[in-house]
Amino acid sequence: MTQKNMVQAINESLRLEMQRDDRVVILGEDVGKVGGVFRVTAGLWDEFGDDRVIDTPLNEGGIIGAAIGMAAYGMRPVPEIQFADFIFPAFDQIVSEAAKFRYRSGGEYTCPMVIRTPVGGGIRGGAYHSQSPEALFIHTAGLKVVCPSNPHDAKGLLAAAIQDDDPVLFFEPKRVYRAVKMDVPDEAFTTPLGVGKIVREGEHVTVVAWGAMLYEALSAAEQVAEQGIECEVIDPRTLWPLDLDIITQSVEKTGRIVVVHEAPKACGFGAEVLQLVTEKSFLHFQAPPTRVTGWDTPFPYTLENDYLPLAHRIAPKLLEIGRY
Amino acid sequence: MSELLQIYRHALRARLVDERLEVLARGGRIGLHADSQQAETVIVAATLALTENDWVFPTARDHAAAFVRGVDVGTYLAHVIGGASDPLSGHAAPGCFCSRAKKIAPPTGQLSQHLTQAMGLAWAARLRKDASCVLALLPETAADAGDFHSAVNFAGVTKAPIVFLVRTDGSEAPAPDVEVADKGIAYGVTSLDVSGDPLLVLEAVREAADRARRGEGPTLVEARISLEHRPLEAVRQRLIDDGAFDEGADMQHRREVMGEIEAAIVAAIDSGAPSLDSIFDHVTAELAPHLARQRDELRKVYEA
Repeated sequence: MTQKNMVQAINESLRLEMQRDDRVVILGEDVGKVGGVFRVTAGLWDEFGDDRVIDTPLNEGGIIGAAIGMAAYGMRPVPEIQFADFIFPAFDQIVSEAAKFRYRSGGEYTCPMVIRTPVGGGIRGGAYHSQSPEALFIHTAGLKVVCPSNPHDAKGLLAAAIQDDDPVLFFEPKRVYRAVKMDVPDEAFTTPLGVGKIVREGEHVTVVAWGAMLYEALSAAEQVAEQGIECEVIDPRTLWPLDLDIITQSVEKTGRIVVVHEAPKACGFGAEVLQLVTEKSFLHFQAPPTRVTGWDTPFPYTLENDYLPLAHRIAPKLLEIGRY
Repeated sequence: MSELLQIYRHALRARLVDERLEVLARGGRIGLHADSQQAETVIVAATLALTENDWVFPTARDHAAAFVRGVDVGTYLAHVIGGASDPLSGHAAPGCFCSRAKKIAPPTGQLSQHLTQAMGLAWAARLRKDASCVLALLPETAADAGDFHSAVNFAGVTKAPIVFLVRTDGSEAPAPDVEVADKGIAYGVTSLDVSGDPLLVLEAVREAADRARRGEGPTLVEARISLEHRPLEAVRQRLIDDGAFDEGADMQHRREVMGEIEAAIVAAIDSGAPSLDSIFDHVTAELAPHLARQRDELRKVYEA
């Protein structure tokens, strides 16, 4: 057990999975010698060589198309997209091809791969280095979507994603990469996909948040606790398939739910979470199911802290819903 | 059987299937139907150049390739009808047939997307020290789309063991006055411009596949089909001219294939619709909780 940040934890998980299974290969832009734009793959090229840590042309559609072919052959590719904002040139390959490979072949072909990509704002990256496109992939049948909030979960969830037989989008909150350090076992372990976690217990308001916004939700929860509102904060960890039960069980206790996410509000994943909870737990509601999210604008450069649903925007909403 | 006669037989089977499916599509008995656009002889010739260990990435118009790989008409038509006997569970539109056992990849509806996938599979084979190669089939229009360029560029970089076989017939969309083969050269990929003569296509692909398997990299082969010379009929005439063609045997063979087609259609229709639950099969390896809920919702509609 050693203290690790998320970059170190993901790097270690990749190394252990590559040692365990020689079908696991990494490919992407500058993932080799350079070690990736955020150095997540640092040292892996030295250990595993050109055939397993592969620098590609700067062409995301080509990277994902190639990874699909490698997966169809029987390998376990882990392509890296430098920023989630750059995933759109590969969107067609992910949505039209990878997601449907198993389905449209009647199970003849599968597409086991993990697309790793950093998401989220707060690094002054502007519109092309800050977005959170999870809802677009959750909307696409056939994909699993994971977003860890801490180094421990990142290591275990990534191993589980690599061992999974279907395509997984693995969104890494870049603001957390080096900001959080915690004890993480040195040996390999998996954290099961599709299982959420209660991060803070409380009886008044259920709060669902993931990635970097989990910390904002927790900070807001501490602020309102001083005013007598105790929040139960849930990190779904895997966004899809969603651990709905852990959320509805909490809502049936609190009668209140607030979902927090960086992505824009309209058709954001919060809308789906709230609707699923509404269908199942409607009679338990004491207050309107509510969201605190990014605005329905492109991601701004200068005023990003007023775009993001940070604690100063979450706390008043928790008070309002808690006292409703 | 001579190679030319083999080409003729496979191409004829594909043509007869197309003619029957055209009628079924017009009558609303099947969904979309995309025919081979007279490219059967070229598709067959290129696929015949492969060994069993090689892979083919066809388009949705390339059922002729499946026949060459040993897929029988009954299996193919079970897929087209999409009933309970469909090996693809009724999930894929006619033409989008695949078989892992026969190393036939699933065709895409997105024109050129299969080309980067084909390149990736070829690259994987090479990384795994497997001496097989990949044949990727495409029409001229696909060479205008993005993934063609991605795939040929990646192939030029990786030296993946792949043969791109593009068929051009001069009837396609607006394009600059360059040959498709020129585009391959631009990406550092050996590129050949051959006529649509199926024996020349067979030879060119065979040599390209041998080079690929030896680790000498990818090849792009442009096969120019002359539609006004009616490729399938031209092969038949050539067989007659060679003096080796038995017209009686040809007629008998046609009758047999047509009989096979009819029997296959009847069997596929008689297999009935796929089970209601099959809508939810093969989304992911396990049935996700939300899909189990939706499956139960659909079941209830019929239980009421």
